[in-house]
Amino acid sequence: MEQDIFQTIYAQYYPVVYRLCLGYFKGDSGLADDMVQEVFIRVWEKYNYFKGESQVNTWIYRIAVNCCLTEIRRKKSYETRVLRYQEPETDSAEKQQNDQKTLHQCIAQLNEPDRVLTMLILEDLSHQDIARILGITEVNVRVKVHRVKEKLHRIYQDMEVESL
Amino acid sequence: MNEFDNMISGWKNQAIPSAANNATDITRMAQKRINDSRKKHVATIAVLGITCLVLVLFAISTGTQSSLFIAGIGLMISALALRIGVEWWSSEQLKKLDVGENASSYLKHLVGFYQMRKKIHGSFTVITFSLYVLGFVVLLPIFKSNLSHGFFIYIIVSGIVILVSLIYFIRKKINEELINLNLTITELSSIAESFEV
Repeated sequence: MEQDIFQTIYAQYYPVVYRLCLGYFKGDSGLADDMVQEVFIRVWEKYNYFKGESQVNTWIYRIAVNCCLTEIRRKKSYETRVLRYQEPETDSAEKQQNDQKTLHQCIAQLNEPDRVLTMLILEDLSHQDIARILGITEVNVRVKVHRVKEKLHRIYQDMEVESL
Repeated sequence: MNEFDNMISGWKNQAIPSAANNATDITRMAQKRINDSRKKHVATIAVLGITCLVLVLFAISTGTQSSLFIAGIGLMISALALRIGVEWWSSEQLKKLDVGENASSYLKHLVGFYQMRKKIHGSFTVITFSLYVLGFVVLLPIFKSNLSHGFFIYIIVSGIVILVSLIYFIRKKINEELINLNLTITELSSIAESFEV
């Protein structure tokens, strides 16, 4: 793979992949960093096999999703490391930081497939794109998106009640 | 829009820390990983290959035409050759896994790969190891008739010690690997299934 192409891809997709990994790993920036690195190593390794049958962004999302979902095997300490929600380390404004913190706490309570789906929803991907990334039908995506949004909303409401 | 929806819509605006590595670092790491993996693979095959070669050279150097000798040494060489072949084939299968395909297919292929590894660690290892030991046992009468009594006893005793140690370590390693593989297969299968429900 040519270095300049990779540099462009890295610069363009780093934030997207980072957000996805950070959400998946329940706000643990250390794990997210490791995973982002892993995702882009795979992108570099596999770019020559990329057949162009899908768009580059779909392909990168697929790699990120697959790397996250199969993290169990690579790091045996996975469960103990992400068992508890970790507060994200960001320098953004306080309100936004609190919102992100709350959202990470909600997402942290979902299981792995739902967390992946949530990340794709939060990136504003269309149902068609999500279906292409996960390999399920658009109808199935629609149902799952509806369910996961409900779950998230319920978790959020429960947290609100608890904080009163 | 309620507060929850606002929160969701703000997701993409969150501050992203600057990357810990730049693109050049990543390409360097990727290249290193490819080289390390190649070296490890070559080393495994080299160890088995050299053992196999030593056996072949030993067989040629003795010039023995005895069918018992050919059967014994043949079994040992076949067991090693089989192991080398399967390890090579397995690594080729791993390379064929496409991390860029959709999650459902990737998980299914990965589970299939791990199930195949389970078979290699389980029954296949037992078969190849048994073939190797059988080959050694078949050679014993030849050793007995051609070597001094003391040296023959030494071969028997050291053979048993090596055999018992190997069984202990291989079994321990295989059990650990099988536990990990079973856990991984269960986890990945349940994730794959949940996408389809």
